[in-house]
Parts: sequence; C-alpha cells; structure tokens
Amino acid sequence: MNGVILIIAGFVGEIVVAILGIVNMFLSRGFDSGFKRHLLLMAAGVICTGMIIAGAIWAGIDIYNWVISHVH
Amino acid sequence: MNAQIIETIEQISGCVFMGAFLSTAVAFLFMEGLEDQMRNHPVVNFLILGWLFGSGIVAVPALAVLAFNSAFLYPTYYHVMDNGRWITLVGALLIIVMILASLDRALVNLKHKNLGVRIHEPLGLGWILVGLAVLAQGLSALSGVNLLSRIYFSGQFLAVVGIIFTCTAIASAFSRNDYNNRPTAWKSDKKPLGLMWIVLGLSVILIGVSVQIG
Repeated sequence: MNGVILIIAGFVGEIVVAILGIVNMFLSRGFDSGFKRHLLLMAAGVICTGMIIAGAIWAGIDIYNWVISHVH
Repeated sequence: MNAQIIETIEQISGCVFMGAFLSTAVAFLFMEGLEDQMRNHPVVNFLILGWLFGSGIVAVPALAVLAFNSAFLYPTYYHVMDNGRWITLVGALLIIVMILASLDRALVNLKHKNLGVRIHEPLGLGWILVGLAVLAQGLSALSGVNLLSRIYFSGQFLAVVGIIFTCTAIASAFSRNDYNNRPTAWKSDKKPLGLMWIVLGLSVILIGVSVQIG
C-alpha cells in the first residue's frame, strides 16, 4: 500500500511540476531569465519519476511477499 | 493466483503506466518549452535523458503486465478502467499540455520570425493524437459505449499508440538541426534518446500485436 501512495504522490508531483513549468515558460523569455527555474523544475520532475519507479518496485515487493506467504 | 491478487497487480500496473505516461508527456513539455540554445546544455540533456529513460523503464513492464493479464488472465483491470474517469483525466491533461507546448513553441517561432514548418513538429502532433485516443477511450467508457473499449482490449489501441510512438521518434531523430542543418540523429548526444523511443514504440506495437493474436 505504501508503494501505491508513493506512485500517486509522484503522479500528483508531475502534475504540479507541469503546471509550474507552463507558468514559468509563459513568464520568462531568453536564456538567463527562467532557465535556472526550468532546470530546477526538470530536476523535480525527474525526482517525481523516481518516486513512481520506487513506488512500483515497493508495490511489486509487497505483492511478491503477499503471494509467497499465501502460497506456503 | 486468485482473482484478488490479479486485480491488485492490474490496478498497480495501471497506476504505474498512467504515471509513466504522464511523466513522459511532462518531459516532452519541458523539452518543447526550451529555446534552441538551451537544448544542447549538458545538464538539460542529462535531465531529459534520465527523465524519459526512467519513465520508459517503468512504462514498458507495466504495459506488458496489463497486456499479459488481458490476454491470459482474468481481465479485472478493465472494470477499474471502465469507469473512464482516470483515462479521461489523463487524456484531457495530455491534450492541454501538448496544445500549450505547441502554442509556446509557435510563439517562440513567431518571435524569431521562423515561420517554416519543421520536421519535428509531428512530435507534438503525435502526442495530441495519443491524448485524443485516451480521451476517446475514457469518454466512451463513461458513456457506456463499449466499441472503443473492445478495440483497446484487442490490442489494436496499443498497436496504434506504438506506431505513433515509433513515427514520432523517427521524425524527431531525423529532424533538422537548427545550427548545421543536419539530422539530429547524427549527433552522438541525441542517439540514445531517439533509439530508446524507437525501441519503446516497437515494443508497444509488439505487445499490441501479441494481445491481438493471443
């Protein structure tokens, strides 16, 4: 169940990052203005993807343990 | 395995796939939003590559589990998806994101007086098509029409998504570079990205075809 929560948190995080990214793109133009924020948001997006991956692995382990405990 | 555990696996796989799908769309949004001189920044390349590779790594196994379950096991996943809310939300979000990204790109082009249509434009169009397909699936499920659901179950939907992925990846890989007018696939730092998307697209087509046959 913790894995699923992590996946949903990653999902919500991606939506927030997307909204902030769109706002940043419309507010800033040029190489200097907004580029650091863009990079930070991209890093946040990568972290959210990492949360989805971690959640998937966690949920997979939980399911594996559940199956093993019910088979034996 | 009993139905309960299969249902749990399917729900989690669906959740992971949707997350990875959304993640990919957001990564494309950020890539589209970058101005040309920023695209070759090493940090940008590293982040985009990590982002797309990460989402691809979870999307393909999740999709494979869903396709395997629908073909060989008890397809309870579709009962969860059949209410259509999740998939409609994702489809609507994809379309909004891609239209905004395309608008943003068009504004940049207008600003630089670059009105010519470039080959990599189908990338955004492909994602709008994927979004429309997901939205249509969600709406049809919401309205109780099962025609699109049947297409989706039969693997044709996956095959279509795979074809769009592959076509957009190839179009992207062979789009012209803004600096030396050579295809970006010739640049060493772009090769893994294009190759990964072509492989991802082909694997989705294979899954779709195998579900169709299975």
